[in-house]
Amino acid sequence: MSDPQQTHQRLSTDTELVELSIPARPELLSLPRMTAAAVANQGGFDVEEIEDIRLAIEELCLATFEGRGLGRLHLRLELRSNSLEVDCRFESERDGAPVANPRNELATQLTEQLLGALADEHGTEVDSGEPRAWFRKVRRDLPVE
Amino acid sequence: VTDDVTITEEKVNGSATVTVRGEVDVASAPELRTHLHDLCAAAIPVVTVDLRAVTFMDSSALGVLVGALRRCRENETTLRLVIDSPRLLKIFEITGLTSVFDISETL
Repeated sequence: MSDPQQTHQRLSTDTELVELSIPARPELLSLPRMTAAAVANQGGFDVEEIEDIRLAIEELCLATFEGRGLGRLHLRLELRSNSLEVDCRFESERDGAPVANPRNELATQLTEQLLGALADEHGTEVDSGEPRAWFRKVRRDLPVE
Repeated sequence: VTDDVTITEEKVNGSATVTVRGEVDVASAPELRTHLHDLCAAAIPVVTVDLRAVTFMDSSALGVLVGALRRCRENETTLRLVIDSPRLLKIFEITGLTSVFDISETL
């Protein structure tokens, strides 16, 4: 299994993209948290918002990979002038369709409550057979786009 | 790359205190589960979990605490949480767990 990979590019004058690809292992989830905190700090989010983002990205990763076995997490962080959008996709190493909902009811409920409160928008889906989750956090000192 | 968790146990006069420090996430929550699983089944009247030095907590950690609470109730053990961080308390409030747990700011 390959090591974590991180890329960074400026998409336009007001959008920067950071991509992170890591083996889907619990002990590596601190990497998305650290990356999200650094990107959010660069985007001018305050300390409380950065803490919200750290927890939200953790919950995204859990919602996407927990209970689904070996694979990789592909994270895409788009920093805009007034918001941060994070997309997380799980690429399984197993053949066949992903397990529909491998997490227990309590875990799913807690994640949903946290994402609902910490992010301005969020969602989960299975896209082309791959579990995916995303959230958008708007800087509270700026109006929504 | 992370603020590793450390968990210690102290038993005094028939009660137990579990002190948790660092980040309790999906990687470290199983260690907390192990500590609480044993204590909640050990016929100890009161188990206190001191979370004042916790710097991060996710839904995995919350799930472990909810599981411990259920186990403690089955064994007629009181489970107390000590939280003095507004940040941590916010997570319990969001998930409605402030009304489920016995939470105080001091030991």
